[in-house]
Amino acid sequence: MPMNPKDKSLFKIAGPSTSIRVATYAALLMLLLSGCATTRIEESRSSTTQLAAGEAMVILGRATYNDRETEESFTDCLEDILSQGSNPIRLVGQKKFKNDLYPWFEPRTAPGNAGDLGRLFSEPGVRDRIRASKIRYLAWIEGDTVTIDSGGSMSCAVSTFGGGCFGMSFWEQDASYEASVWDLETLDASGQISADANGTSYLAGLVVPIPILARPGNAACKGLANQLRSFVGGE
Amino acid sequence: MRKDQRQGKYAEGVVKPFGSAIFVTLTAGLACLLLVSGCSHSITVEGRVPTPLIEALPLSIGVITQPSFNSYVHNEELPRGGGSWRIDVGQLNQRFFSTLFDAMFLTAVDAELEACRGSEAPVPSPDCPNGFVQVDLVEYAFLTPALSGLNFFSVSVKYQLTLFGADAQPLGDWIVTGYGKSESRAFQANKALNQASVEAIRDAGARIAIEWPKQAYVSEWIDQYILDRDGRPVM
Repeated sequence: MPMNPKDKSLFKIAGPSTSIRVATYAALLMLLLSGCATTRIEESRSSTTQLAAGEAMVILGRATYNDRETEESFTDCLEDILSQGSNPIRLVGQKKFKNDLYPWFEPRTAPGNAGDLGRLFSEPGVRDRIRASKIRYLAWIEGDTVTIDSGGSMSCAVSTFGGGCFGMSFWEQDASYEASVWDLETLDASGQISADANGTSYLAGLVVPIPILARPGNAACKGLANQLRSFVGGE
Repeated sequence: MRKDQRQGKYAEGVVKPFGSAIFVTLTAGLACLLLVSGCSHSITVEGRVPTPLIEALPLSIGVITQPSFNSYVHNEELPRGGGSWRIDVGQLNQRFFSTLFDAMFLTAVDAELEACRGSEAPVPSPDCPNGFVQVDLVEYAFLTPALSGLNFFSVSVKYQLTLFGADAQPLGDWIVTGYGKSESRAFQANKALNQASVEAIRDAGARIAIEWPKQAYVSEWIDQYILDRDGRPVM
């Protein structure tokens, strides 16, 4: 259909107004300033570690019966990073490990500290099963990501003629995780690595909702995985 | 008004309401579908049944389960619009306990109690096992995130184990509760409840494998069948 010359005015009206442009620049600025998370990694080593060729590590999320628990997505993220890259680590999956050693690594029966490993290894079959899988290190992951602050407001409306969102909301998240590394050869604790990340995410409603996500959980995962890789690599 | 203009107006008048009608119908249909699927849940609990890594007791056991145990279905209508839930736990129960008792004892068979009534311990009838265990599912309960206020589906299962001697006389019973939880994710309520149910059954199974043989009446029953070097029962 040929365009009516009068319709040109519509383009002017529909184009970005000054206020929308300012808001867009503000959103982009926020992306640069606040759309990131700050991460702090700390390591404490109590013995030398060295993952030999063919040896494996298993990553287990510490399960509890209270309302806080290490998310499965976090341990999955660690496994993804550690099993890839230029220096991949052979990992035994959490589910396979727990099934192979059932009932000794269930939330109720799993050893609470490295001192319990001796008792566990005296159970028939446990030592042999772990040695058969060539698992050298066990990393217990504890912690979670919580929202510590939130605010702002946003309202969205939908009708048969269209819809849109207006407003701004934000939430600040804190991700705090700790990995306790146990040596299944010496039956002792090798050390601990902690990762703390903090970031504020924004959701700006400019007709279309624009999320500016900080993802501190992801930042903590990357930081912890890289440190864990160098830790078991003896670096 | 010209004929073609009238036709155009007529055509426009037909197309627009027709398009709106499709949109409204689709929206209403989708809303109904969401409402229906959100109100009614039917789950058959499925999961991997691990073989316990434990030393088998040198005894034979007859496992007694009621038909209601093997085909247990939990039906519940939750308050505050939580919907109706139909959870088939029986199939996994049957597989799980079959594997569990196979690992716990030298031989485990499905047995009829009445056929062995009158046999005398510690010298069992050749056709009868050293004892019988009856497993009953006393209670299955679950909580959704909406009810608990937590970001988890929680499940608890309560079993009663009754031990009978070779003469089919009851020796004692024990109630064990297993607990499981699983993270709640959008549109994956059934999957989360399934996972929580599997965790609860695994937890109860772990306690049965480790703690049940340590119960006083079970230990006494085991001891009368463990022979010394001279082939006599250790009393």
